Amino acid sequence: MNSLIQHPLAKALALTGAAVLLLIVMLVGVRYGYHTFGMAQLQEALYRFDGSNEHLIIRTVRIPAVLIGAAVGASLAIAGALMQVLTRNPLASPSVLGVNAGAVLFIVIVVTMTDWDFDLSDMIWVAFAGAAASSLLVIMLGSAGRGAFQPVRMTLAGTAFAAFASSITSGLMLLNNASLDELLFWMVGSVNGRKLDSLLELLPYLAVGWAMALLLGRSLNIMAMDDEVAKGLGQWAFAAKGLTLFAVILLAGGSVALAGPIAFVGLMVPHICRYLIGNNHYWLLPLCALTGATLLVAADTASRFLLMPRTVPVGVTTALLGVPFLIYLARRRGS
Amino acid sequence: MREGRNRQVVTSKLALLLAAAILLALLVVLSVAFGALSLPVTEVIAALFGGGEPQSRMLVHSLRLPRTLVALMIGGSLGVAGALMQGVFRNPLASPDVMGVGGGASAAAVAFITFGAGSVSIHWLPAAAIGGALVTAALIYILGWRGGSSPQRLILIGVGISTAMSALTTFLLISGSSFKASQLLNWLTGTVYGASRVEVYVLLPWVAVGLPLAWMTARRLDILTLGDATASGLGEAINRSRLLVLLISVLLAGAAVSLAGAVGFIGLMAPHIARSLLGVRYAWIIPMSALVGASLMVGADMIGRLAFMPYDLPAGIFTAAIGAPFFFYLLYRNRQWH
Amino acid sequence: MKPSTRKSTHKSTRKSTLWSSALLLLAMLLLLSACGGANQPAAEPTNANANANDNANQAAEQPDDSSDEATEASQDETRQVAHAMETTELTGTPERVVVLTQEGTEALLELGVTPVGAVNSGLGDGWFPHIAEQMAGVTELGDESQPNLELILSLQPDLIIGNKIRHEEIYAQLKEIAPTVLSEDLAGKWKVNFALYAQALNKQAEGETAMAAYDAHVADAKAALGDKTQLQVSLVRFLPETVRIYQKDTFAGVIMSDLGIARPASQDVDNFMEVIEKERIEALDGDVMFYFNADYDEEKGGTKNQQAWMADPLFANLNVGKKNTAFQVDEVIWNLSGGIKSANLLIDQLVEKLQGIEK
Repeated sequence: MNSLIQHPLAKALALTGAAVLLLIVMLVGVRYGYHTFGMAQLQEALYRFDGSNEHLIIRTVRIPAVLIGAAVGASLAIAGALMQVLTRNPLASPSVLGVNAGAVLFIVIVVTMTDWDFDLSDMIWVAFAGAAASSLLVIMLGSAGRGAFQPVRMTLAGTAFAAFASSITSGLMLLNNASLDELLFWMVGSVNGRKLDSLLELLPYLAVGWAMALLLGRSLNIMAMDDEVAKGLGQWAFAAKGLTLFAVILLAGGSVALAGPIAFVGLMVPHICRYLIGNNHYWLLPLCALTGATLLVAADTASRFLLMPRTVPVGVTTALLGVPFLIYLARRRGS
Repeated sequence: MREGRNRQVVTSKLALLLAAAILLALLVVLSVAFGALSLPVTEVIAALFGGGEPQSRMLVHSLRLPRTLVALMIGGSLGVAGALMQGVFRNPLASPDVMGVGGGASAAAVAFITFGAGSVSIHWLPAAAIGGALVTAALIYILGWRGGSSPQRLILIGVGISTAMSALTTFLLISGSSFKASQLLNWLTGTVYGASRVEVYVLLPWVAVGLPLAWMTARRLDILTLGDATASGLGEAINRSRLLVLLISVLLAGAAVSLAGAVGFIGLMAPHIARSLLGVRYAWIIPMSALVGASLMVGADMIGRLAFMPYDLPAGIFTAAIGAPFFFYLLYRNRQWH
Repeated sequence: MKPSTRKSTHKSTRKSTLWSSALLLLAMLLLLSACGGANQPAAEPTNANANANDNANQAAEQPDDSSDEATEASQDETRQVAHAMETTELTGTPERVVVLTQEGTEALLELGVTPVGAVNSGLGDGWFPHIAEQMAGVTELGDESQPNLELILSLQPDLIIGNKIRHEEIYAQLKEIAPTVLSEDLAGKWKVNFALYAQALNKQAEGETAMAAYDAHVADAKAALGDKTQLQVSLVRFLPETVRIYQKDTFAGVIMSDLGIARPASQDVDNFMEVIEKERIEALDGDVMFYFNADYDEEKGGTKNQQAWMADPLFANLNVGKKNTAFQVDEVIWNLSGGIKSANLLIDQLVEKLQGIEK
């Protein structure tokens, strides 16, 4: 398949361009919102901090939101790309296949049904467990049988599982007299209002996920080509798939623990990037990371203006963006 | 000889149907007999036929019987809607909740309450919900139309629209006032709390006409499941048939969801149970799905009413709770299916 | 050739029949559901309404308005009570009352009536602490938003009191069980609702006395506060994942308006509440802040959130942070219970706290 950009030099330029774009979007994300800050204020806040409200907001609200948005966006995009290769389903993504919903379900089960007083680090493990359980479940369907494409069935299975997970989640919360806000917190993701410390705690796991994805580049390229060829790799194919799955769990689970379930980033971004830069995962994954980060930060910034002065959780915005995209994909496939 | 064996098969299938009907009747009686207010069963039966104490009569005729009948009709409609959808989409995992009908009704209901409640009587809520379901179904169909209505495409788009509706519902919930929030949450999970005689009368025409209509499409469905190529070879106008069946399915599901909220999994489970008992012919599957679906809903509602007194938990929680293990079993069993 | 033509005509006839029936069904059902759904049900066909029919009486009625002054409260007189759903005719003094809102419960107790059944407090075990003693032995009916209809029936009430926002959907069924009166609104309308309930209970005189006492209490408090009423008072609620400011159309907001207490600009609006994110933390500010935490389980998520916010350097920059004038108050009295007893208690707590502040 021919991508838009073919020449390696052009690809390198594209990556650089994407990085610059990300920085610009992050800058916009720090500056604009309910309050608008000038560049001078930004610099002062960073280098000549004086404890005023503006500086505090920049440092403790905006910058964390932007950094978390970038980290989660990158992770989800990479996880989506990995899932699409792993399951050979162009419609795969952590949200569409129910991985996010599964992680949330496990978290809510632990929160409502046990008396543990836990903090974020415990939460991460629960999220990982949930992500693992649901991805295994859905993968089980994908790699069963012929090896022919069964994207529709997998998508349906993932959606049905997500529906089931979210019914149980809301049921549990209802039983626990949870307020609507608590419910929304877990049903829809948001990068706002999280602390920088949380990001720092989770960063190692996400970084491992990123590193694994990049290192698996060659195996991913082979997996993407053909099942027959892939099978020729023998034992290594199985290990590669396992490692890929592990990376997905780290990335998706970490993202949910940090920001709740955010939909469609993992679906849209790999397609856009594949269209631009092709199927070579050495190029594709970095571009996905940069684009995913940009998309999520931009969506979060836009969310601030949708219902001003209220903020809309970014998960709602990505869903509203992602659905037309999904429909476009479904129509294009023609079958 | 083969005729004799066919007759045997038909008889045994009829027997199974009858058994299901009896089970349902039993569940109905139990549902009317038991509740927060305990009455001896003799009293309940007397009240059913117009005798007994005034309080028992009111209990049975105004509270328990309407609620049970509404649950029955809703479960039956959802079961049949699911059977129809699984036939049209040739996919064992299709159901009204997944296909966005429930989501569309929910979004419309939340929009109605957010913008209209207070100024418009709450009794228009079902109409709004049905409107939402129909609009969503139409949207899915139109977007899925591309020289034809391929089941694959329709499913994918249905999934997408369903997600969009859910995001929209969340958006509306956020932007609205918080007073109605707890009631909305109950409705969104699926409940027949507060069902009265009015709801029975409103639902009855849909069910009385919709179910027979659905049953009449059985043969079409049998042909459609053979695959598009075979079906058109047999002279079937595929797209129109699909549209017709879908329309009936959406009407049934929409009516159910508009009254009870987005009850999950009945449309998924009932047809499968029916199929495992009675085979693949839709002439059998449709009535069985109705009976099974009705039993599931009546059963779930009973649990919700009786297990956590005096609280009245939404039946949707229990259909999901039953649906979960069932769903896993289904996925496992169907991993070779296509 | 011929057989297939016949077959296809037969098929197309069946098909068009199916189509037209489907369309007819659609039209019919839309019409039916709209009509059937929108109307209140007509007279009940069963004869099981012993309770309801007893009260419908003959002869002279005094047409009452819910906001009218007292009329002769003779025992057997019928009165018309105009409430949110319609005008209901009531006779005599109800003895077995079922109440379906928190503020209604308080109203009843204040008027000297103990209900036979009431909705739970939502806080877990039992009734609110400040009314627990008076509520001993009362049957619990489930949630305010979803009371158990069968339990209500079993209590054989002669009056049911509820609220339109919560109970509109079940009004028809409640009416069958007993005459039912629904107040229009919740939020800040407790005074209006109180007058309505007093009228429904045939205790107008007692109602007016109680209201007069409240008004006197308010006047005394105002005098006691003097110019402290110019302190801007901020009202904040900490929930597990959210923070809200409570504006004028709330229980505490209405009382503070009565007392003439100033509010910060963000809260000086006629709305219920607003959700505030960290970036808008200034909306929480004022001269004084009273906050309550929504802690519904042992997790105490509300308190955790409150502690996190108040430890934030952004909070330290607020007026209330710098001057240390943020005080926790009882959520039950200030937000949840919402009736006349809480109102009186709230005034006392408010005055006590404000008097301790330097201006």
